[in-house]
Amino acid sequence: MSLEFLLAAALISSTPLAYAALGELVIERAGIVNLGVEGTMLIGAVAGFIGAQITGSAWAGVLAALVCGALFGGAFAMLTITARLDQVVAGLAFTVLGRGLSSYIGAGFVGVPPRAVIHKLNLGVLGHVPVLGPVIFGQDPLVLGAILLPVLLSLYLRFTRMGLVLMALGETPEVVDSLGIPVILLRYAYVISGSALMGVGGAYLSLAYIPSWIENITAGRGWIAIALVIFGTWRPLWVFGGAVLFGLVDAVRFRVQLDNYPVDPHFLNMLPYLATLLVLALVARSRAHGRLGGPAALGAAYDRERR
Amino acid sequence: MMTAGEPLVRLERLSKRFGQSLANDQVSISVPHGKVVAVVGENGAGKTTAMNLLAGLYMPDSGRIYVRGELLRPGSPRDSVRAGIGMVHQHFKLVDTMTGLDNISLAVDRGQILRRRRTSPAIDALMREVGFSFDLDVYVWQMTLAARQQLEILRALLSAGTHLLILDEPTSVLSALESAELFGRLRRITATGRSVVLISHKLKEVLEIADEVVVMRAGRVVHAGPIGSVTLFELGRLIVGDRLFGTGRPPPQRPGRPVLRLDHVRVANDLGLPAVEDVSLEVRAGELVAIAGVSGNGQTELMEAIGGIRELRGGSIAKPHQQRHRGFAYIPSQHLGTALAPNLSIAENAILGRHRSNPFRWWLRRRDVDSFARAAIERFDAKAQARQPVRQLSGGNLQRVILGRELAEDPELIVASYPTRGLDVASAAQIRNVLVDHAAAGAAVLVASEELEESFSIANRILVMHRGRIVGEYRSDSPELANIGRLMTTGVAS
Amino acid sequence: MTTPSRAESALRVVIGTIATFVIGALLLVLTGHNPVFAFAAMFRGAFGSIVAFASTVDKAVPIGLCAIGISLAYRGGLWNIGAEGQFYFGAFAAAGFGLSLPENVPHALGIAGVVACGLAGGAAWAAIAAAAKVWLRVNEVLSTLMLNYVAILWVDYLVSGPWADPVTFSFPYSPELPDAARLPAPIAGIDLGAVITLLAAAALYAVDRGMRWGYELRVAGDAPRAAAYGGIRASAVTASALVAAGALAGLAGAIEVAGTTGRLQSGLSPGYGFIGILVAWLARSSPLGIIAGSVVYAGLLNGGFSLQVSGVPSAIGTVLQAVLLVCILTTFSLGRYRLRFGAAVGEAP
Repeated sequence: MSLEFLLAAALISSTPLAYAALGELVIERAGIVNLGVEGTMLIGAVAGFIGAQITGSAWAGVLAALVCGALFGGAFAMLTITARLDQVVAGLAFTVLGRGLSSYIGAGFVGVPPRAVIHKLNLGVLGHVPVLGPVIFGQDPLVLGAILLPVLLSLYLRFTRMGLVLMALGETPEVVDSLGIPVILLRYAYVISGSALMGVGGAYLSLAYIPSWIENITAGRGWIAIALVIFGTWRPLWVFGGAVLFGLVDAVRFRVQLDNYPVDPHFLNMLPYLATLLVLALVARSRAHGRLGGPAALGAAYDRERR
Repeated sequence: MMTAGEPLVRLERLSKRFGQSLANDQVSISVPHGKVVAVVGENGAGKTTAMNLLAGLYMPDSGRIYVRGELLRPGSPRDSVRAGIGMVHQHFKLVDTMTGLDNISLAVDRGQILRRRRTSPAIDALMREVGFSFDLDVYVWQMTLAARQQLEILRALLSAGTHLLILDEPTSVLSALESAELFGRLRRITATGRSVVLISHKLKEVLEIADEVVVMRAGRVVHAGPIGSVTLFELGRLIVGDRLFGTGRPPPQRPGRPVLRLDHVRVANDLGLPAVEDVSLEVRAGELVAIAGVSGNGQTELMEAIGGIRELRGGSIAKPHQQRHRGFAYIPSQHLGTALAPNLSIAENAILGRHRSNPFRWWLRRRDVDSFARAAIERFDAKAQARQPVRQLSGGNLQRVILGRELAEDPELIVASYPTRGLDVASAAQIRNVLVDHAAAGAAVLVASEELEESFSIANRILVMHRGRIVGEYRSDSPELANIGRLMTTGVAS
Repeated sequence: MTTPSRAESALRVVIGTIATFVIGALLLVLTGHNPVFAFAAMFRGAFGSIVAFASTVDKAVPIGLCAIGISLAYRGGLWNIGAEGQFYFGAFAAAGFGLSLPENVPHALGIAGVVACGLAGGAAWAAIAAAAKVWLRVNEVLSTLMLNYVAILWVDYLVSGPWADPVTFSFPYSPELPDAARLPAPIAGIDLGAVITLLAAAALYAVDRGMRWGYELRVAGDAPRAAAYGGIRASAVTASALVAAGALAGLAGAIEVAGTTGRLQSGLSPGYGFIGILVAWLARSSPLGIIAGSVVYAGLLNGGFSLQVSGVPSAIGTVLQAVLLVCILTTFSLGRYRLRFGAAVGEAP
């Protein structure tokens, strides 16, 4: 197995994680914890697959996943932002809901061969560039999107006024509110768009990675996405880096299984969680000094007249 | 359209209720162009509430607000900002993890793409015009309080062309010199035609800077007029109403044995910075000692260290001690969350700190708990039920319950941090009397107070604290008020 | 937050339940199923016969034990999202004990050992998060969440490798536990697991009613500074509650392997630890509510399974579990709105 092949496989494995983790990052930056990533991804995966089955177009499927992820996120936003339900409980409820709903809706599609899948791009000359050609330019558009997204997000956070507002939203919503910027509206917007990204991450599984619908297709990737946000200390490029790292582990794992390597794959699968625990410990220790911690107002519903 | 004589801002019969208390009762205030209007009154008189209504942070229950003759939509910070109203809150509304310039970009539309390299001509011009002196590229959390305040004022002036700047207790975090600088800047701001509303409870600075004064008491406006129309004495009477200064009387002093002794105590604040530096003091049985000072000079941290909820950085404290819990009464400045668990019942809170001694064992019998609760409630006539969650109580009743609990066993030492802060007149007087009575009966009492009048009316000795040190000691029968005032603000006596 | 009266709470639960049925019926109709038929079949599958009911109780036991632990930790202000992992680790410890038992061990000793190992295994797993919380101030929501998957993967590894049953080679199962380590079948209709769960609920009631530890836990959970003020070591008390929660979840795991499945296997729990969180919240800290809630949620799980015969996907049970929680919590939350804006009841200043 060549290095190029390994890197390409790593990028493919990291794509669903990257979409979901960056979606969660946007939401957490806005001050909301959404533990329902797994459920939202499943909704996206099933919506994407069914959308593609009905229309015969994989991209219509991706659009369906985007819209359904957004709708699911909108419901979550209503419960946590407007009704101010506890975010942890609501997130877990949405994990259960997404799992149940996707299994229920997708029950008739299990094992059905896909009518349309997402194909790899053919960029002609670019595909023949050494290393970059097969690793990047030979991928499908969603993989390229996953590479582009963290860059755009990073620029957005660092160099635009709206990005500044987003960071303030998670740090000190009361400041944002006192400046006359609509806290509630923006939090809705970010929860919905972040959930839409999770939906796309799910659709990548059912339309490109697997590609078909099986129950619980995400197999814990939603939880890894949450872990990645912490692992990347709430910074888009770091989160993406983490996703690629775990994608690489995933790619190596296949190799291990093939070659009967001495490390059991179960232990490799534990790595994301163990690494996150390590980062949690390091971040917690350094929080007083460094700036590695999460948004300060994370997890708290905003209530203007609470005193 | 602006009509002749129409003030910049007019509040008309605003009312706002929080739970049981009417924070604003038909409040009407008008602010003319280019003037400094001082809104004065005691803590809890409703000054900040009225201004929060104007800033759109609270929704009024009734009443209207006019800006330049036009009705302002209530309860909308956005509309208030657009109408040119900027407020600098007592607790600064800044994002600590961002630089000063980013905080400005957040509030002021300087284009959608951030330019961190340079400030805009508008900022530079305003910095010069008003005379600001701080670095915009420093993170807020690294700024001094004075710099943060300047940043807030600068930001308020920049956003949407603020015409009215509201400052809530701006000098509470400033030194005397910094206050003088602030007043100089306020003059320059009004010279540009803008108006300023200054919320304060310090009369002297009000007379120094304000053109007009509005006095509030218990949620109502009791006086409004030009500053020349009232004397300092009259102003004081308007603020406190019919209450007399110095109703209390210090306990008759008999020299007793020392009960509390601090030796070279050093304590850090929540940020890990030194708050108390090298404090030594002694409180004897039968005497009441007050610690005076501008708040934020380490009094709270010192009291918490004595109370045993803040670690010492150095030095030692000798105090009555018992196994596993305090052997004396400690009344912290913030009750809910520190002396009381807000969501637990009064009965449960009544045994806090007593639950490991007789008659309690591993099982807390309800009968015993209830008898403690009854005692704590009845001792100072708190209006409360034993099964009620403690957070539902008013400030005065909270303080009565704590005192009822802490003084239950007539302790030999009482340490109280701002025991009358935010209380109504009757409750404050009752609590002062309780402290004096206990000292007269032989207890050693240490009180931190921000009201000099209070300190003089109840204490035998007054220690002045400034920047974490005791800078002066006075006997209450030798008032050298001018000197103490200077000590409190500068740390240096004349 | 205002505390609604008991009648008001009951009304809200009823409204939330009705809303759940309406949403569920809507989903069924939209997907071409008859809701009346489906709900009736679910009810029969959950409570319609002795066998069905017994199977529901079997599922209510782990849900209830997890929920009791979660509710206990929450009294100390700590979220235990890790009941699932603690369940697996308890099951692992219990199975390890059972599988290594020599022959001719007395039954009582075997059962005691299994139960003790379950408790210890769950407690140990929770203790990792508790220690990280106390010494490193690591957020327990995230640490317990992450530990879940480590425990699940650990069990997966064991049953597909070192502990794999040579007989059922292709399935990720351990060999069966010896009889000495197996819980007895229900005697006169009394299920040992159910008895243990009821005892745990009673213990939770005692914690609330007067145990000093429970009092210190509530103070520490509500206001850590007030705990320090009152001479309570807040971090030690709350950490002990998290460990106790882990022990209960681990006990559930032990009961599962020693009573229900008889062996350690992959996918031992269909998410009991997560369902426990939903039930603990639904019950709003009441021990009786937890018992009722776990029976209902177990019924939804079981009823869902029995639907498969009639062509309705069993996942409808899972959907209803989530919808029920969301609906009931929303009715409570909207009730708060009415109080805030309707009457003149605001927060005290």
